[in-house]
Amino acid sequence: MMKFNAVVGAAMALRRVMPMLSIAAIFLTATLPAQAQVWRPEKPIEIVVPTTPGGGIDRSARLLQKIIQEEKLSPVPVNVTNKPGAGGALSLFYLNQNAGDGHVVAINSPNLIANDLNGRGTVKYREVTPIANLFSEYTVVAVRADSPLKRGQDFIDRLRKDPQSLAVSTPTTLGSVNHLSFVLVAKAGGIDSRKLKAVVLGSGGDAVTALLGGHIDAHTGTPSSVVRMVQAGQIRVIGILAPKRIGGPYADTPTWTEQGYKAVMDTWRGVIGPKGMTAAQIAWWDGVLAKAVTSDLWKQALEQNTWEANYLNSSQTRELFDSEYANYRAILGELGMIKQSAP
Amino acid sequence: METLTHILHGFVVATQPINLWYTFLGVFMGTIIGVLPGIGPSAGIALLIPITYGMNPTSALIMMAGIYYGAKYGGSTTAILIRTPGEAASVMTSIDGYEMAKKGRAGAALAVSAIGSFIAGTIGVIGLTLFAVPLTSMALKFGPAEYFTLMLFAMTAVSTLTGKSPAKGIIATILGLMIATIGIDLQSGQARYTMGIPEFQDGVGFVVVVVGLFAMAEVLRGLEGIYRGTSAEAMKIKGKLWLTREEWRRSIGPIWRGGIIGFVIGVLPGAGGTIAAIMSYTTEKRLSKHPEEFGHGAIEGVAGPESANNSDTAGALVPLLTLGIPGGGATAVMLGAFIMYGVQPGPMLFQTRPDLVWGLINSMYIGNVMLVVLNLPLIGLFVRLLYIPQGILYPMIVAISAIGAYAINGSVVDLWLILLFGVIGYIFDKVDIPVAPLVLSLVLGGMMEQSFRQAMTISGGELKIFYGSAITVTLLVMSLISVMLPFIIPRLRAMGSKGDES
Repeated sequence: MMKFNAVVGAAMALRRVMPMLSIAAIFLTATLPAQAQVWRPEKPIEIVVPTTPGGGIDRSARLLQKIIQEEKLSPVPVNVTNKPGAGGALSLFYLNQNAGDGHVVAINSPNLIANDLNGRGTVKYREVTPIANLFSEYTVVAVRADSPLKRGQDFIDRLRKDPQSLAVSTPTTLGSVNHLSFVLVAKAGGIDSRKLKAVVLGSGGDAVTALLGGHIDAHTGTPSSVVRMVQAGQIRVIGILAPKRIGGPYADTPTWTEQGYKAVMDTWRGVIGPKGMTAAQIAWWDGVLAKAVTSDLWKQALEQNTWEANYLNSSQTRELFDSEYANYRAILGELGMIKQSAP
Repeated sequence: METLTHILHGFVVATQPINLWYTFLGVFMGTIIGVLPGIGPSAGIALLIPITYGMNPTSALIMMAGIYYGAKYGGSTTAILIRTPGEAASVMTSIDGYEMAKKGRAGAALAVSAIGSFIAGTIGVIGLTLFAVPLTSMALKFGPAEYFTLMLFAMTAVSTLTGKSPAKGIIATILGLMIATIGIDLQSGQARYTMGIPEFQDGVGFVVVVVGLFAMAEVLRGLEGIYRGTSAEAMKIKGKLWLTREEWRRSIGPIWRGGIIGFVIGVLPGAGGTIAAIMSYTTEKRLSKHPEEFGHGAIEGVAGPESANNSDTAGALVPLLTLGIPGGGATAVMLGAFIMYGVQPGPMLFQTRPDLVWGLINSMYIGNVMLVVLNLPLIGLFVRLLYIPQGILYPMIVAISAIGAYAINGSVVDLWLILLFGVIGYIFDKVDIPVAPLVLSLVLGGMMEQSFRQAMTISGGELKIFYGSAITVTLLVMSLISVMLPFIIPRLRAMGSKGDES
């Protein structure tokens, strides 16, 4: 009984204080509008990774974790959680279980949009909050060093003569960004994209082995998937699907566009949040990630992994998603691979 | 001569106190990771990567390799004692290893695992030292057509795993193949048999099926025994923990054959330790004078596969070091680590960083010695598990299995699956359907189908791709012989005995 009375007493006291507190709050908001909207994390941040530990996406998440902690960009610790499965769909489902929570974000890739179109995902790309794009990996078309395909033109010529004449690996499934890249290049050359011989050889690593062994004619993948072989002179990149040349080991590699075939495909990597994030939460993340990508550790990692710097803030990332959705929709539609339930 | 200098210098690198320490740390953590089902070497290595930022790359890679091959030592422990493979590659060990434990020979099974792993692991490292560079081209010759014929050859071994009734063997085989088709089909991008469950898009995990079929089924059998009051006495250790002279004699052959099989399979990217273990098991059963003992506690069935899955790790480092190609999950994570340290694995690595390559390879000789020294005394400790009363042991198996299955993907669906496969395993046991053919077809089925269709796409639908190279023809002929063997051998034996009579 004593306890109950104490609680009631406290509540009563609170009730008396509340109006005064609200008045103070209104006063503060009126005079300091910018500060009033500031959001800061109050519990540990969680970065969700849509793959198993060890791959490129996982590495970028753990790197981000390290930078945010070492550069003291966040007042709270950062954890990394792996939620692999179903081409990233399970991580999105997990992310959206935390709707409106600014503490949980996920690393994402074009699978976010591809899965939306091919009906594999349960979460639509518009149901998550774009926060940032971190870097780009423009697809390359690679052949073995001794291949008669010397330039992009040779590749197009062969396919024009017979679309079935080249077996091209497109990891890691049909309808992936790598497959779309192959289709895009062929389309730029006026070749019927439905007749192409795209073969999926498991992971990117398996495909590179098959390319080196001469079992396939060409391979589409990220620049990092073949960089070691390119440096060793065993594999040649005949064209990169980038808007302009990328640096590092690929400084001398021509883009498809400069070879006369307008084709750009980007395996971008970015950060998304759950649905229903507030403007203040997004603003906090914009500030943190803009700083993170200027750190030396980040720049060093970009170079080591052949990742192209391409930081976009939250509103630019929203635009990227919308334009990529339109692009993929056009290509997958032609291939007859769209399986989308009504939006 | 230059190479020899590099190799000798590698020993200097490997025996530096700091590297000896990291070798020990690696194999010690590997043993623990191996003992725990579900947590495999790839997850273990991946989780360590952030800690190794800023470490000397040679030391870090020595430690990671230690985890990788160390895990293969630990994987057999739970397989033998509680019929729960700690590692996918230990699946065959849980058949005869557990039967040996039931007969009171758990100590011998654990001992032969450790010694087999040591000898075969060393065979593997010797292979890596001598043949790494020449073998590079062999790995490259394997394209989709070659892989298909290799899987076909491995698949023909199913007849040796079938019990008395071929029909029951076929039921198990086909069920395995059916499970292998669940998930997104890579060649068409279409979902198959996923029943609207997103978790099924990646297929049903091998370890999940195996833990269900072996460990959970065993628990259900045990429960039935307790309920009916017919449960056997706790498994008592009979005789010494060490091998008898007879057991030792029977193990020597399987160990060195397993060592060679494991290394060769390991070199091929994508095949992996599980296939090496299965191929060793079926080989031993075929060569054995008493094949009827397999499945009922034949020591060869432990010695062979445990040796094979260990030398496989050394083989898997061949394509990683010489080509920069990962053959499986753990080596893929190691490749990521190489990149992070700014070291480029590939053909140039042996020239540019001989200290790192040979330091790493030579540390594996030392690591294997450490592992056998570490594991042999542990046997005495581990076998005490068997004295735990059943009322405590069975819940413990369920807990270990559930934690292990959940740790793989953090998926609750996997927990339901181990229960489902536990029930299937229990029913199989009641109606006498063998489990091994299911395991074999599940491992091989997915890869066999995909490589067949990859080859057909590349050839434009022409079957001649399958008899186009020396490798495919050899494997096809071997497959044919393998299928005919059960028919040929009895006749040969009959002819032989007739010859004796006349």
